Amino acid sequence: MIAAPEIDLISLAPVLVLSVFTMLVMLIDLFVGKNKSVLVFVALTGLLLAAVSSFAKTDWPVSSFGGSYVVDHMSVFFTMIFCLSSGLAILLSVDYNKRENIRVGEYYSLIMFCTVGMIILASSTDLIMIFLGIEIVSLCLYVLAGIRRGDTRSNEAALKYFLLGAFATGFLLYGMTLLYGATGTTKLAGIAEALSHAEVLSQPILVMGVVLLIAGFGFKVASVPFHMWTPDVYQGAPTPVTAFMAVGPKAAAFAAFFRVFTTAMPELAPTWEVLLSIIAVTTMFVGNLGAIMQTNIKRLLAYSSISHAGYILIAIIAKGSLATSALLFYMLSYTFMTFGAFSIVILLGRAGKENLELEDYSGLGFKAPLLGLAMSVFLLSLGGLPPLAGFVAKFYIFQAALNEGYVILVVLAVLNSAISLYYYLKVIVFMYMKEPKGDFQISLTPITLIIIIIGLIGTVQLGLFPGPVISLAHP
Amino acid sequence: MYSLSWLILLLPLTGFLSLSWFGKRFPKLLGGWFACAMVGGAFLVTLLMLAQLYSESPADRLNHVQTLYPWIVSEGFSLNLSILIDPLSVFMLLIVTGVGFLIHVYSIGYMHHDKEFNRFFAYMNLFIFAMSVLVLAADFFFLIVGWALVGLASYLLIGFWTEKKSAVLAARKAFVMNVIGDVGMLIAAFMIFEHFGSLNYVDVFKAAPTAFFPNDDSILLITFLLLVGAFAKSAQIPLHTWLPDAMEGPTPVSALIHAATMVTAGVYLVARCNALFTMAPFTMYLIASVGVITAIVAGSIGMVQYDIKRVIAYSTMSQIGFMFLAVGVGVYSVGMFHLMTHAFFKALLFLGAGSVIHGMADEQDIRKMGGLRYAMPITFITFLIASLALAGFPLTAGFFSKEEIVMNAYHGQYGNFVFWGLAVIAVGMTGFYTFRLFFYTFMGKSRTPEAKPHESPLVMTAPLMILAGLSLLGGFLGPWVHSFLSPVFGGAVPMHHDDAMLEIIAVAAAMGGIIAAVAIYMTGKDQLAFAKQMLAPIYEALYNKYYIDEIYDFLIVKPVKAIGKFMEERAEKLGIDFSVDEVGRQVREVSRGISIWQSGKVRIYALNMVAGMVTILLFVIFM
Repeated sequence: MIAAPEIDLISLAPVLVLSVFTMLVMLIDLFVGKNKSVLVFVALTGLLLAAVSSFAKTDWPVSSFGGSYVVDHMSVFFTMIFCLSSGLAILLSVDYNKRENIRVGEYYSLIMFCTVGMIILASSTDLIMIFLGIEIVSLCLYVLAGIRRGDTRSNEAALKYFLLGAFATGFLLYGMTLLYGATGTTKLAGIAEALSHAEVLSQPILVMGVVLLIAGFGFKVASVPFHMWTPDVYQGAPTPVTAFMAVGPKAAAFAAFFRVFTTAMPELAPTWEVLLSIIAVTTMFVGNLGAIMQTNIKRLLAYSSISHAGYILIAIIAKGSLATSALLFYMLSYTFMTFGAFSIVILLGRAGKENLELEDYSGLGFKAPLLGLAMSVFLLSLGGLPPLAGFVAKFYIFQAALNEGYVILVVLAVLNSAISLYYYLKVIVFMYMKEPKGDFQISLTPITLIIIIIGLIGTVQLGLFPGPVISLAHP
Repeated sequence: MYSLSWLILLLPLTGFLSLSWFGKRFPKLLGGWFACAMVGGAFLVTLLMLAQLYSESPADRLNHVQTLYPWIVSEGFSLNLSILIDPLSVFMLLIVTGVGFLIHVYSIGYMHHDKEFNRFFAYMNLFIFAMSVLVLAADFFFLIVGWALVGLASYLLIGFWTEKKSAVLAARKAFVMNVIGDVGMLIAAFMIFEHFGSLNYVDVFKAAPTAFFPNDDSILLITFLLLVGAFAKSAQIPLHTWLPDAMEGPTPVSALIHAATMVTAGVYLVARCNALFTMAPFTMYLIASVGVITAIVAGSIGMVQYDIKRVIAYSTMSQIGFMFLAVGVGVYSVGMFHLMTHAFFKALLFLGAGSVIHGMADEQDIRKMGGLRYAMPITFITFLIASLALAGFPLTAGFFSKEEIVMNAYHGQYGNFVFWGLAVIAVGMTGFYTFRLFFYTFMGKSRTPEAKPHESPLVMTAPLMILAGLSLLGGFLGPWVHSFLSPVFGGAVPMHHDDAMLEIIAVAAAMGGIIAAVAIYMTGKDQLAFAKQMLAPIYEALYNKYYIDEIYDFLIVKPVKAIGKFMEERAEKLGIDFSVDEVGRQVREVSRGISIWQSGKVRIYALNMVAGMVTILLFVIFM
């Protein structure tokens, strides 16, 4: 007889709150006219309440639903990052949607549903739940990428993402199946327990399972050689969706990636450490070298996000408590600087002309000094220059890896940081050292200004005063 | 009380940020006075720190580390945002903020006509901030931050007149030279961290005496790399070439950066790291040798220059050579003492030169000046005082500090006869070029009668008068400096050596230089003809001195240029350039390859995923 699992709805509070609000957004959408701004308020309220309700349980870690769901330090911190990134994405969309004539209410509810999936992904300790989370997130993203129905690029992005995503999901599910076949359980704790027996550990299908899992997760976090969708999809998707994809869902995939590999399969670490190291290094190199020749800012940032995935993979390889806090800190810093950069990318566009070529940034530093300064701060932080957030974030990841003895990996990562400065500085060179091509027609709305200021405060604050956040991120 | 020391950093930073952001909205003069107030405030806080230090017994005055908050904390490494208050840092800050304040006030008059008045003061405050970071740093990390910031600030200030091409080039040259030094410092910091597991001064200096044997390879390398930084910042041979060019900046900049503060950072570094340098006697000889050679070479070049600011610039190099000689022979506080007196009279000389240039409508060639003593009486008297002090005329500030250096060049721990002899020659040169400059500028008749020189306004002459007072009387502070700084240098007070013979020779050398200048440039109407007739041998010698410059050019510059040219044509074009270009080209090729690989076709992408996975699987199986 199958025992019914205990139901602990309090653990699920953020998921439930967010789901209710999402449905509310869909319902209200039916009754408002073309002006969707009321939906933004409801959505933001929902995200805020979800963030607050993640503290409903305070005696972390709380495991529930028969060990398939956990509220712990990492899941709460990730929930904060998700709510922040989704909130920023929604704010970022307000003006963009008006300009690009995206007048569908589903837009906001999709972002929120996606957030629900992300929270589940970061809190699950069961392969089935993780799969569910990934599917919720992916399905929402497929639609979001193609939400500009009249735009062929957007359609192309959505279709490509969907086809390849379905393919990758197959890998992931197959990997999970093999893991289940070898260990007889889908619970992460159970798998770890089973793997401690030598006869289980020696099964060849385990290796196959690990490789398939790496492929599946590798696709979601855009690591080489499963990264090829990234530049095309990032370029084709509406810019706020691109920013959102680069931050929230990626962070969620990393959360699950980290949890599965470090809690379920520490026994297999010798195998996957090597694999992930190679993947991390190639990811960094492909991302950074690929970015050098890009002339489109969205593609450039897409390659940059690939390289960042390489750095973050180092945190998984390093394991340990310092690696956990480094991962959390990195994702938070990455949220601020990426949204900051994308907000300025959106700001420079106008209806019918998105101004996405680097040429379009010529002379921005003189025409709009404060915007130029802000963009420089975001880019330099992405490049990892002190005293900005990106530097401290990289520093902690590298330190975690060094403590575990991965010296060569860190040397290669530092080398890559140096390479990456080339193309970040290239944008700055365009902004400050080239004559302006045409007039900038920048209409800075209060909402965009708020996002830029949040991004700046976050980037500078985490760079100058990382202490409090680091201690929050420390389990 | 010590926690207030953060204000020393905060005030100039506030000045810089507000002037650079809202500078255009500030009324012109208000911005200048605001900047002055910030630096003056920092000076007052420094005085407060001095008073606080005095309330403690000398042994307790060390290692007051003020931590604002921990910046980076992780297992095995941590960095605090903290500053160090001790006699050395307070002493240095008194000079930086005190002399800096006077120069700020002076600049209000000097830069009065400049369109970008407030931008200038923003940079000046940035410089004071950078220098304070450098001095107050409690560990090598923030030392390097300050070190680099000072380089940045000097770049901005030297190239302040961006429409002047030579200024921009000079700024670039200074920046590049300084970055060479920064790299040296950076590597030194890595090595220090590797050996001591910490970057804090307190930890490192406490562990230093037991961590190495004297003249260990690693301590030699660390101190040598630190020296690269010190020599680059302090314009010592062979990293000196940026300093004369840096005179392209506005004159107050020359006074602030290239006389009173920035160039002394190298001396400060050696004094600060005395615990490390003491473990490397070989490096000490190197410091003393480079110092005394720079003193001679720069002094000799200074004797033949005609640009008023260049003469003073070479003199600065030469005097800093004296300071390095002092710290090199092991009398750190004597070096710091000369640093102080030099800051007084050299700032005064530069500001006086600025006043002359201001009064002569931007003329810098001393051959076109002359007779300015009537038109500019205050500048004349203060410049005379500064010249006497620089030349080491008895009882002026320079006399005391230089006399101690020369004495210790022989009697000091690492002193010897050669150092002493060369130092005496350099003293003689100092007297000569100083008064050559002085007579050319102020005495005789005006050589350009159409010029209408006028005295500068009070806002410019007041700082001159204060500095003149300090240049006259600052020498009597010597004993105070030694006893105040002695805890930092392990309680050592430099011994006073009663060696009348050496003292008389040193004074005679200084007077000889002055008299030679008087003889050549003061007598008769037609000075050159008179000199040729009456003082033919001396003139010949001096003329040959000029040849020394040429020989120097022939022996060093030409071969270096030839080597440089050879290197450029062979090594660089074929080797470095080629490899750098090639690397760049290959990187772009790879980048393009990645882009081509990115074909946009979904089936290729899917195939790629499968291929990647199969590769990984094969790798695992056959690993």
